[in-house]
Amino acid sequence: MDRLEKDIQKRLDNYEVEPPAELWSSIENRLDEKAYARAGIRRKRMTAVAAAALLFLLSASALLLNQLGVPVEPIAQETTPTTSQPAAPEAPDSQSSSTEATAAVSSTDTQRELPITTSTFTPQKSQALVALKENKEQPGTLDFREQPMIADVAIRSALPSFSAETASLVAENHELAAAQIQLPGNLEAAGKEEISNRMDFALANADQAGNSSFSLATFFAPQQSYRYQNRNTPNPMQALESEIMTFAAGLHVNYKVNNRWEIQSGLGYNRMGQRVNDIATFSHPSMMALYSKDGASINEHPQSMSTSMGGIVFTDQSLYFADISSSRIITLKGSYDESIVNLLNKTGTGLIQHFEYLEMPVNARYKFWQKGFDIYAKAGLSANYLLSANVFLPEQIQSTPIGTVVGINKLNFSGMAGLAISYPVTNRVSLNLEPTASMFLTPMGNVRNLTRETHPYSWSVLMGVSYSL
Amino acid sequence: MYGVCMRYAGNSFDAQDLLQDGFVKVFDNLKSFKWDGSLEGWMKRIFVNIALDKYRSRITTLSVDEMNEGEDFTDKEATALDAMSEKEILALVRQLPDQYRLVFNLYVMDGHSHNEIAKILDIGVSTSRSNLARAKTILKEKIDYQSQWIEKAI
Repeated sequence: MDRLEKDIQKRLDNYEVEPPAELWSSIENRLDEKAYARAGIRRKRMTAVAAAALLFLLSASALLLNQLGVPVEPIAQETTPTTSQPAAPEAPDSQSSSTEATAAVSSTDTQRELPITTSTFTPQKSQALVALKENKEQPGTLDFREQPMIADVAIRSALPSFSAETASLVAENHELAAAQIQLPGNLEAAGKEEISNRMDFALANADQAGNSSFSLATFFAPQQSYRYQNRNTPNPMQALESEIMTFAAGLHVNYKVNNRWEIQSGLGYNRMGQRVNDIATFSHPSMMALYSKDGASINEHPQSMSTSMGGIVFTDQSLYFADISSSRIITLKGSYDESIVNLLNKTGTGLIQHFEYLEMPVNARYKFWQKGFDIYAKAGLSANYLLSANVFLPEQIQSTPIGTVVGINKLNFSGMAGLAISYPVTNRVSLNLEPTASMFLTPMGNVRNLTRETHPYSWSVLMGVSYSL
Repeated sequence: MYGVCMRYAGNSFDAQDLLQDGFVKVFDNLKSFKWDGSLEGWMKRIFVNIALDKYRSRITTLSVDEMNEGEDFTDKEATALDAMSEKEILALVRQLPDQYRLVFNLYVMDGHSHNEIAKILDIGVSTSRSNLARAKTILKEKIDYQSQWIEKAI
């Protein structure tokens, strides 16, 4: 670099030019337009996410209900009135509460998306910031204290009204807070107070929005439930059993350790289970003697059977059970009664085992993505207390069980891992979507060669809302 | 930042446009700033990039033959430069044609090498050198002209 270059570089390097005062108004206007546009985009995105979540919830619920409640003659006809009637009066209420919830979210969102008004930052007020430049008496202060335009950026970024994300920005960057106490002493009193008040306001809002340690989250999770068997010998029940759709629901409490890590606990209801196929169940009103297809008399119909998820004991003595897979198709002696065969076919042939657990998890969540929405990796352990273990006919899931399952441990422990996607709707409220896999770490029961080697597992998608306290 | 815009822009209107565009971009991208470096440096890069985007298309390539290193910067010219205010020096820089002003700012004010400037502006290294030499020649001529007025005043 020659002398000319050095001289010009030296003279212009630290030379600042004051922009025309009216230029700030133009910038204000453009930023306001951007804020409005951004608010519109955010509202559209939020609506799309909410609609998608609702659609998913409805689809999952419909699928779940379809799996659990397909009416089948003739038993379904008897139970239809008791299962369908209570639902009707609830419809208007749920619709009403849904409308109220939508209105509440909409109202909160409107409040959150207030754009910058020209009263929050005017050229006159920026004169106070210009005074910052004049003060060269205190060395070692932050860059933006010496540069009025950068100070503008810092203070603007601290304004919660500028955008929804600024509060967290302030919370994570303590340099902004430090700027407040480094304002020069000779700054015009009014200007100093203005800046100070705005920083206080921003930091107070940041405390509310970003520094809250606890949050509450409710969730509902449709899930596919089945079991894993840790055994070397072939499972005699393998061919008869299959997975089913169940659900879990509950309340979680999250504790924010720092910006990345969270600890989660709470209480949940978790329904696990499986379907046992090819078990024909039917009622026989005349209680006539039954015979197997080869003509042998069946004096006692089976009242218990073993499955990989415990031993089933039937408690409804009016029903008959037949293992179709072993060809023990039952009919009446002397005349092959087609109606009986048809009845067997129509019953759908199967049993549903439900295990209801009270679940108390301890999970860790690590946030690895934070751009518009948060994504966590999560893992944890749960203690699962058995509330009930019952057997239902597939078409009578919601009514009285026809049997119970024995040989199941009261207390089990399970492990869980998955992702959690959290989309902030307001500073306090977030929508959550959490694809999760969980599995019992301990065997679910104590029956040798069966439940002793059985570990239930589930694939689920937790959907819910969290509220920052 | 307005000073940066003034150096890169040919006139005040363009400088004000750059300042507006720059601040809008700064606020749009504020979340991407990592806070582990200088906020001022980050902002300056944004403003410079906007200026380069605006003027890059106006650059005309000069052949190497036209490169002229010019004469040395004399004491008389240095004295004249010392006598000038920063505002006057800035005015001289801003009067440079676009292709010379961009290279001069990138090389002298922002410390880029000719190789870097060639990549930034998508021009040849020899063109960058030539443009810088031409910029300096124009500046010397203007400073010479200024020094004559100083002599007359003395």
